[in-house]
Amino acid sequence: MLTRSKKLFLYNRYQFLSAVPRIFNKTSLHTYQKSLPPANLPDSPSFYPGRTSILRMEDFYHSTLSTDLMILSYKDPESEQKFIEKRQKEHLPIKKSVLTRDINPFAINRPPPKPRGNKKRLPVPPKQSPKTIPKLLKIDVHCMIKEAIHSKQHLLSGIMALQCITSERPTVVYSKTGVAQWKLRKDMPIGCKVSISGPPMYTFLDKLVEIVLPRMKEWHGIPITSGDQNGNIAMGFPASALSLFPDIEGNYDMFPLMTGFDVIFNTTAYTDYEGRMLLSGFQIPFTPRKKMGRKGRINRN
Amino acid sequence: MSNHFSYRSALSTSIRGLLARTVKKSKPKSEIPGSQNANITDTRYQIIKRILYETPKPELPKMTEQDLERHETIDRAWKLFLRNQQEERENELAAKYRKLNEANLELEKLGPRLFNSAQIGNKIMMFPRQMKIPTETPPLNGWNYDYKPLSSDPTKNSKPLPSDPIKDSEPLPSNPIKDFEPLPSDPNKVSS
Repeated sequence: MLTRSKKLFLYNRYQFLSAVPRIFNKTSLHTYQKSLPPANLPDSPSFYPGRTSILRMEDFYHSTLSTDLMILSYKDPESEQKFIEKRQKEHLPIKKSVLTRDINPFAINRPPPKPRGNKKRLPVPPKQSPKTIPKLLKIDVHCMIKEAIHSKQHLLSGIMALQCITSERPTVVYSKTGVAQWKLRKDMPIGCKVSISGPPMYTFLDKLVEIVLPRMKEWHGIPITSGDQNGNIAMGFPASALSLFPDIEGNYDMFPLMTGFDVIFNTTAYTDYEGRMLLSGFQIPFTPRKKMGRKGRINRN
Repeated sequence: MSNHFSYRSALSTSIRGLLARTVKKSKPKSEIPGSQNANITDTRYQIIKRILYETPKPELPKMTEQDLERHETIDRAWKLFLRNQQEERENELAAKYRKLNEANLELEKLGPRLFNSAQIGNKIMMFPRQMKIPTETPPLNGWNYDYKPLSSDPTKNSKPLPSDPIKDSEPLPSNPIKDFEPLPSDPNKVSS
């Protein structure tokens, strides 16, 4: 059983592994082994052999998108200050007694009080500079396989499919709670996910934008409301979309189960608007709102 | 004398007997003739399992001292190249940002009308769908000389002629914001 601290350690070390399959990373550090071989040698689990082709999307970002995004996301000092203050705003706590926290010496190291009305506190962005231009950090591809409840072998199809698409070995996702209605128990392997960044990410994005999205049937774009209010945008794909990838189309018969999957674009933008702007630069289409009334208005922040 | 040949089972005799009785000795579903679950599914999963988890460990290159030196030199040179590239980009962006900021401050001093119209404010700006990300080779269908942009007037149904059968098969989404304009192309940029 992996303890939480060990899990974090492994996650950090092997997070962006590419060429080396997961089975070769099972080595845990023994007490006498204080360090792994350096990352530039093939022996190391974090060794990346290097990019094998030009990355069209990355080059395009650096040459064109970054400067355009810098200009488009530039805010005059007044509106920038307003936005930062909005994010820094501390909501009133549930209990009034907490407001006297500073005076009360017994409450010095207590955790911060919960806000009233379950309001979230979103991350506070830094002051704008050429380093805060929205950039695509990583893409998370996740696949939930319902059939794995009654037969675990169906997971293999998902794992293989994700590996073919992204060129990275996915990890298995275990259920956090049980649902009796679906015969799901806690800690049951129910899906797989993979996180890609750098060259594999840009190749995946290229395939998506040029091949998969144009060929999808009855798909009009990512809804404009998609986003976690912090610049990360997600989209879901039906099972039919998996067959459109050239890696899977080639040997379609070898996949016993075609599953749908979701793709989460993790950007450095602090608003959904900026995240969408970045992705539209990579030619990912968004459906505009049909109504332009009060409800149809898109919030820039 | 030959004690190492007598292996003792971890389970006691009684438990082993119980297990033997409870195990149902039947053919797997896939091997029953005429079953719904065809044998093809099982073999595919077996193949996938073997590919994923039982492929032989790749032979890592055994590097001599000189090989190691060469490898490290190349690695350092590549990293240095990337670092220089990154620094160049950062400096360029920093210079552009400085100029943008200065221009904005100057404009603020000139007057409120020009300054406010120059700010993006609440306008929704996104990159146009017609923008082409540069490719190494030109498109298969060539240049579309008969292209007509979608008019902002909704009464006129002027659809652009399909140049790219994949992209233009569905009509481009109409832009709800009237003062949306495609970003001006940089005349200094080399078109590929």
